[in-house]
Amino acid sequence: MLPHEARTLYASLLKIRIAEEVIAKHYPMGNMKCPVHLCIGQEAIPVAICSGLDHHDFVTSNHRSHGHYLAKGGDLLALLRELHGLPSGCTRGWGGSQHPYAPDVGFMATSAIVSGGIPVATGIAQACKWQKKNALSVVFMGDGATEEGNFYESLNYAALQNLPILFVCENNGYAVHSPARKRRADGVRLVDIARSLGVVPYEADGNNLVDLHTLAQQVISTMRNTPHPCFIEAKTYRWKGHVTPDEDFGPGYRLQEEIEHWKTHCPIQLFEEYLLNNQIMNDQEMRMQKASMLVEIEAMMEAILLESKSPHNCIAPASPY
Amino acid sequence: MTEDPTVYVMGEGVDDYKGLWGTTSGLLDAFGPDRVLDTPLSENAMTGIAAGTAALGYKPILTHQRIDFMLMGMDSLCNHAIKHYAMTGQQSHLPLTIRAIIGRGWGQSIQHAQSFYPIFAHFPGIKIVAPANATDAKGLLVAAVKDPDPVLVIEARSLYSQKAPVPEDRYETPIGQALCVHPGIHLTIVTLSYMVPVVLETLPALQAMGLDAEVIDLRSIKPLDMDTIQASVQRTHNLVIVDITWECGSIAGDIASKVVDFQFASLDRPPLKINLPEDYVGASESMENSFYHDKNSLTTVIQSWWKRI
Repeated sequence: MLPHEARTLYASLLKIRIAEEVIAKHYPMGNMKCPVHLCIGQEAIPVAICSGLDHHDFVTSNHRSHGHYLAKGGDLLALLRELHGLPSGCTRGWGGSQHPYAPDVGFMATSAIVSGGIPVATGIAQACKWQKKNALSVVFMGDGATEEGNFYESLNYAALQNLPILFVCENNGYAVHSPARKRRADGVRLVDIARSLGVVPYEADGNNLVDLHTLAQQVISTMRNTPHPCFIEAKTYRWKGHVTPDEDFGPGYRLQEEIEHWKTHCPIQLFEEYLLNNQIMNDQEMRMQKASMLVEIEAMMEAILLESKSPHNCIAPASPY
Repeated sequence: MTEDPTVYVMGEGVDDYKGLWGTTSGLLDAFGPDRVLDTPLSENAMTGIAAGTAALGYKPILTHQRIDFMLMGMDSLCNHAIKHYAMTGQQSHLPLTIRAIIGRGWGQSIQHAQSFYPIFAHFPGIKIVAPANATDAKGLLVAAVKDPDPVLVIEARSLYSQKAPVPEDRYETPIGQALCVHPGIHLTIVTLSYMVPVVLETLPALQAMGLDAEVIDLRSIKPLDMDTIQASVQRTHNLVIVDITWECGSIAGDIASKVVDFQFASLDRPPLKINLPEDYVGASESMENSFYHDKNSLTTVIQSWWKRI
């Protein structure tokens, strides 16, 4: 990829990582009164996929939505405000962490019901096909979602109607605390399922941004040339717990060694090696970028804390029904 | 569909040569397969897909040949479509219309003869209408399609053969408005859908025992037109509700309790709720006959209730 593209991707990666780390750090103070499902460790996937999309394409997401929202161009300040339940949040305080909303950049819907967004994204793709504006619909899901009926029904319909939809599975091997081996028979591969339903499948290392970026550009280009549904299974791992800002190896459902192993495959570290090896950025530039982004995001949090103390931000709206 | 290119019909068999008992006949020829979509047997995905198109400004009319199949699409309807407006911070409406057809009789049996509208009425943010004649079937469907939020239209197949005047031009029947179909003075009978004609058939027998009944066709289950009902009860002092489903959670219970809340002093007797029996309808003719009220059994129930005080 071109150097300026690489720098843009790096900035996008950092924004997600640092924002999530700031959220994790502040969460115990209890001012973000909603469950947060952090995507630390999985950042490369939304960054790679969204690098092939623009504001006219659509993204549908799930409960682990922050990375998808930010990579698609959602406003970070609006998201942080939403986490604090403010009317100035992207969903006016109605959605919290699980339902960010940014229609101006095509971030259309999220679902806190696993797989719930898949049919909606398929419907968006149907509308895209009718509107003939060459727009794409992308839906992010986890491995758990591929067990729900919604997955099979939607892929079947997308293949039947040749819809411009990209199904992206961020396979991190867990559904809450349940590992994949307890949910799917050995040897059954998601790409085989997608293929058998008539959807073109791809498999990828979800933490290798360079390769994933190349793949995403390629897949999206084929979809724009000839609308058809595709499925990308990107293998990755979440560092934090399902819904906790801690690395939860304590309870025992996963081992600390497993988390430590995946940290050596950190998508950001891997990309930094690429940037260094290709002389796109040096160590000092990267450190400075991280530092200034951290300062910026911490300043946002401070401002939001003040904002949330204002009395007019503490009133619940009347029911519209 | 002629006037608005964003309106389309979808559902299992909507382009079928039988036209879903004639309700979708001719649409495929007039509007083509892109706007008259036969769908796979995937109620949950299809409801979500309809919602997804509505999020981009299309106006789907999702049709279920039988309301019973709606249970396979509960999540997409109740966890997603109905809540879309709220979950987007009240920033995006969802103009989804669903037609659900009630079956009854001819041994269709337990899973093909349900009318469980209360399941959906429970949720804020959905509107539910039930036309009892062809005039309102057109008017309420037009209103449903034009409504910016999800509307469920409950159609009773047994009414399809009943004729009623239907103006050629496009008109809307307001959602949330009940209609007095027979004025009376001694009691108010509120009813809906396929029970409307049955209630009207009881009037001569009731008249013969000196009861002049006022009959109100609910037309809209949610929002509920309590103003019309209350105004009527204020004059008649007696209320009967003849419903089309089981008692628990039914609109009969809702109306009865609201009238007791607001008009307790003006009631001569406690309201009478007539729901389906707490049972399932078997396929045999004798079971069906004892399950559903006809004009005679209905008259008997009303008479006994009247005579109790």
